[in-house]
Amino acid sequence: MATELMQRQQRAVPDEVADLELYAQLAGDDPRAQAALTQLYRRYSQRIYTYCRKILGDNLTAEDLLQETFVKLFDSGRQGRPIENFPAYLMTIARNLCLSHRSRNNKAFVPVEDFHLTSRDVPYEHKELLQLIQTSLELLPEDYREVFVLREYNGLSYNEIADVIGESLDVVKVRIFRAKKKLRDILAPYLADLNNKA
Amino acid sequence: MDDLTPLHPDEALYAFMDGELDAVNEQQLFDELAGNTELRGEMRDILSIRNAIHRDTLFPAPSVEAGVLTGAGLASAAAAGTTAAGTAATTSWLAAALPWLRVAGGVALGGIAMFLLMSRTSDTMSTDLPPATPGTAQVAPAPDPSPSQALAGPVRVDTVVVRRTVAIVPPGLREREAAVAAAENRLATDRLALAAERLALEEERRRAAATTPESPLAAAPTLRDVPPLSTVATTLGTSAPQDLTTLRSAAYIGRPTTGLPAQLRARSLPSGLQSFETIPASVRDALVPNVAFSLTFPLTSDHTFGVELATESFVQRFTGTIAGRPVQYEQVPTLFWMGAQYRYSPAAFSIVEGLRPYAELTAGMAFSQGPVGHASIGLQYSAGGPLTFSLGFDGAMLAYQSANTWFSSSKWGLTYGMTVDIGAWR
Repeated sequence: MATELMQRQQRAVPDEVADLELYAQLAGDDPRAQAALTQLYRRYSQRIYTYCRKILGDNLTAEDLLQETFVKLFDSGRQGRPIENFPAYLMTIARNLCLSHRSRNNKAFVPVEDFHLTSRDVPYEHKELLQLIQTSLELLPEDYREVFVLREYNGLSYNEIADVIGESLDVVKVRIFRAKKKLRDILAPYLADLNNKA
Repeated sequence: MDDLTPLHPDEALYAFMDGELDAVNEQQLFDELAGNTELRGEMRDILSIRNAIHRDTLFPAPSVEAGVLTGAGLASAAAAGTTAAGTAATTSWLAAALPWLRVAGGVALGGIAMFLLMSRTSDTMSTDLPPATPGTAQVAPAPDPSPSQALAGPVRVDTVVVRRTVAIVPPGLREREAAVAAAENRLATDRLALAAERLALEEERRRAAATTPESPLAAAPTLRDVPPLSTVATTLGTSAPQDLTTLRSAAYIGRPTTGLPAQLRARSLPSGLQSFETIPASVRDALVPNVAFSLTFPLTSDHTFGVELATESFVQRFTGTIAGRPVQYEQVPTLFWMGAQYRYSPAAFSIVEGLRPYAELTAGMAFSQGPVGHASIGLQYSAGGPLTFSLGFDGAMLAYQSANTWFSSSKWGLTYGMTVDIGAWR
């Protein structure tokens, strides 16, 4: 619980306009809609991009789908479609686009090792670990990888993940547990070595 | 996590780490952790993975935001958005027109340079003139071999093109050219003597054929059928002095000279990536990454000036804060830029024949980014033909803007290239 609370506190900014309020402003006149869309983009683009990138593994495609996600969000806002959970709704749009893209291209996950996008001040050991995590992620079944990314990279709760992927909470719990267990088993030898060095 | 009762210790551990464990199972987990070394090790591993993942911060390219606004039909906003990486202070219509203004500026610059060069050298450039005047710079006066004394027939000179004075001649070149011209004179003299001999033989054959019609010599080839002795002369005659000069001048056709109007060049540029780094898709998928093409015009034999355009990758780093945490975003876009180039290659410092040093400066503008500059030094080699090869060190710097803050990116490395002297093909 403590971890979850910390993550939520990190996300929250006191004087921010609520997501749903910004979403409602998308139906307004152009300047207001533009400001609202820009604000929402800056809040969520990193999360959506990370999700697309980790699921599809392709930098450029992830950027395309990120763009498409927000355009679809804008269209929804223009039409005044009611929503309750903004992050889950946005993530659902991104997920559907990723699934659609994957089925359209009908190809397996293609890893892209351009980790240059990560922070340069990350120590070498961590970079190496990141690469190993990425490689290990590729070994996971798609269902497991998706819930892992939503949980660890996007910080969604189990309930939110269940909403996004349209599965029951129990299914989500089992998938997350198995994904993490499998990942840890793959990385265990390296982690033991890393801990010994430390 | 109470649905998964009874919970296995590691299930409880993962749920706890995700903040999804209820209080009852939490206490059981703590008790288990106290006495289970393996479980503590697993917890340590999970924390290591989580810490690494939280450092794995990914950000989309700044241009995507503009794409979103464009896709949403907020055109003016999109135009403003493109300035995030370029010119944030300009108005939207100016931002939209800026790339075209830059292209027009580059073209205008190249056009002005070409105009100045052409107008400056119009009276000294190579021209096609049938008779060459004595005392030209390229052709030294030569003694009259007077081969025409042995010739009685008419003179016909085919396809003679003469290059006239080249205004600027480096030190020592005039003497070398005079020596070459003298050698060519001797060669031409020999050819003339041979032609005279051949014509004399022809005449004798004709006379013999006239006295003995049945002789097979009657079928001997006529003057018209005699194969040409060189590519420029088929018959020679009495007006030898002027024609011989013409012949000597014609021998220069096809030779590269320093005063010809333009040179095309392709050269590699350093990528800025370390050898151990993975080449990003933006560079890997580019059509011709890190290659520059230039069109230059010689101001003198040592100085050239022209325009250069290139597709080049630069490592760009943006810094900022997200939720109060400093982050650094990095990308390696392949940019297109265009600019002016100046090159100095002193003939006086020629190391060996055809090999000499060069120094080069290029200043340009990368589209939607900012100013870019290159400085290179190295060696260039020409074997005397139209091709020149170069190898050197190149340093480059790009300035770019994001969120009203200027950043810069620099790199250095090897550059190698090939230059084609267009004039040599004429």
